[in-house]
Amino acid sequence: MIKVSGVSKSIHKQPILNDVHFTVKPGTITGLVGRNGAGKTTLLRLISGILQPSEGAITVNEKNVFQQPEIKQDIVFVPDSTDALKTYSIKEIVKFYQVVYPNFDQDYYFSLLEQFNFKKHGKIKQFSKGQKALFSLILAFSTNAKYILLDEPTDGLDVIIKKQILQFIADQVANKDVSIIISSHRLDELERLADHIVVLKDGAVDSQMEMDQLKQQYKKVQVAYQHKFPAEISEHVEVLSQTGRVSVLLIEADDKGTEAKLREHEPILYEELALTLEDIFVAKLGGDLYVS
Amino acid sequence: MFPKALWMKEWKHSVLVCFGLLSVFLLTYLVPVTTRFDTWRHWQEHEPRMWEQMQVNEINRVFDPNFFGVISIGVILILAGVLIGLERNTKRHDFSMALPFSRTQMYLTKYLLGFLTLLISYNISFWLGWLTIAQSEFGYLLNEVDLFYVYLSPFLVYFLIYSFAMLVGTIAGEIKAQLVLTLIFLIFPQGIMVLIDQLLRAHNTGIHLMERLEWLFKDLFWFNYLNAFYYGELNLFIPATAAVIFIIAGVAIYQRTPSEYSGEFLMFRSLHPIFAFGIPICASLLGGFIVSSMAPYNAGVGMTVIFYWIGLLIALFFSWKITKKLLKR
Repeated sequence: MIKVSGVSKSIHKQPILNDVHFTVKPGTITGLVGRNGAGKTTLLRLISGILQPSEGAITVNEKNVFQQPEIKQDIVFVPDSTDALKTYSIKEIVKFYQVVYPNFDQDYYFSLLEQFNFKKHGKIKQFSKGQKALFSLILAFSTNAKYILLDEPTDGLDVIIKKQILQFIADQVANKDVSIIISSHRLDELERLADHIVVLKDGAVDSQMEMDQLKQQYKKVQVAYQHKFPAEISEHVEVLSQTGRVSVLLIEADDKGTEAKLREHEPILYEELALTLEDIFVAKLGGDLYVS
Repeated sequence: MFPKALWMKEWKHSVLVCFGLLSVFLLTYLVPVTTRFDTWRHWQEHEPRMWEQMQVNEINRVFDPNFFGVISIGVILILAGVLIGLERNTKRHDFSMALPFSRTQMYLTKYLLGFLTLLISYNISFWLGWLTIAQSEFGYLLNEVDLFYVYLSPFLVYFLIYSFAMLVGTIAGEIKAQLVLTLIFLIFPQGIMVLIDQLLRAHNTGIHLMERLEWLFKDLFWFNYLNAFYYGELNLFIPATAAVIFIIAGVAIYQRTPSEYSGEFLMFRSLHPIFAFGIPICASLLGGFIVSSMAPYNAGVGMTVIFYWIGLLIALFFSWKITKKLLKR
């Protein structure tokens, strides 16, 4: 288990993270959500032992990553850039990873390369940006590390490679005993993957929640009335959008009273819509989190 | 203590410079030997009297690093820069720090790789040169060489400069800063004394600092150890001890280096005030030194002082501006 306990970090005397607490349980995907500058990358760099916390501690299976770096054989950090690998060839990096990570599975690595039509020779720098991103994930998952930290893995990639990468991550988690922390400001991507969401805002954990519980807590409905939207109901619902007479609302799943009131006013349209993570965040966090 | 993975990583990025160092040492010791043989034979046959007088000097000249000593130092600095500073310029720094190894292991592997390159390259070149002479008709001349100093003095100064460059690498945020700071600090003790001495002289204080600090310019001016003129006069224990101190300090500082400042001029924010004042002070003393030396020879103290302060203030202005930019990077 990764345990982040009271971690604070200041850089250039500016607080970047402030008293961050959360845990990552084995076999789960934790989405680290926040706007640019919220501290997501700094937090991942702290967990992977690149940076030392100004305060607090980060432990992996009860071992401090900074004081007992050997525990990092079970952690692979995949940054948003693959520049560090560019001087290596495909074969060189395998040899290197085999030495660093004792559980590295060479056969699995080459089978994945074949599956995604990668060459088995040549330098990594010859790959396209999307290929590099996918390659670094293949490399990370081939280590059989227990924890993989992904920093904006789909940032700046086209839609096709993005889908390929998200599918790859989902497949890996389904087939392997691995926990993932994935940082992103794309809620729509995390929604499909994450079990647990940690929201970072201004360097602190604003909220954290379990995805399955979260979606059971709310309902998204689209209503339209012949006349204006009944004012007395507005206080009990989160209005996600209003276009003409049609309103999209977020209501608590067990708030039967509000639902009854909505129906009492005889809507000309009442329809339940699929709830997205973005809806909840826009409604609950004032809409300043989501950045598309 | 020295994981294979770290050896592989460091070797991959520094192999070119390692072979560069071997080449320079071969140029220092082996190539001159072979080229001098023809000259010596010519002198032996055609100018025997001159050869008689020159031979001791000639054989010792072969083992005097001279110009190639300077080139070797340059390559050693680059080697230290590639091992520490270059990594900090790039994303390789995060990659390295995320690996499951301690900082001590990382630093010592880097250090040892460079040191072994230095040790092996130097010994191959030196002993190849030596054996080539020993196997030739000039072998008898080796009796005129003080092997202890000729072998050890240059090696110790290379060892010291490498250790020092690695130490500076622990505080410098990138390769350019590491190289510049290493060069400056290698001559800093002597340089600052020369500048202060000129300050005192320009103001006619009658204090001659340099004369009182001869040891500083002799024993602690490391480049003297590369000069055959000083062989036998200098205590080799001094560079050896200094090198060991630099290694210990390097390990201690590398463990504490905050990664978040990699790519900046300095890795430690606490050093900023020292550099913020130190650079302008030294630069202004240098400005005063240069401009005061332009004063006419027969100018009075007043004129020299005016020249000195003009140079000092100009250098202070520019160095202050540059330092501010440098430390804000």
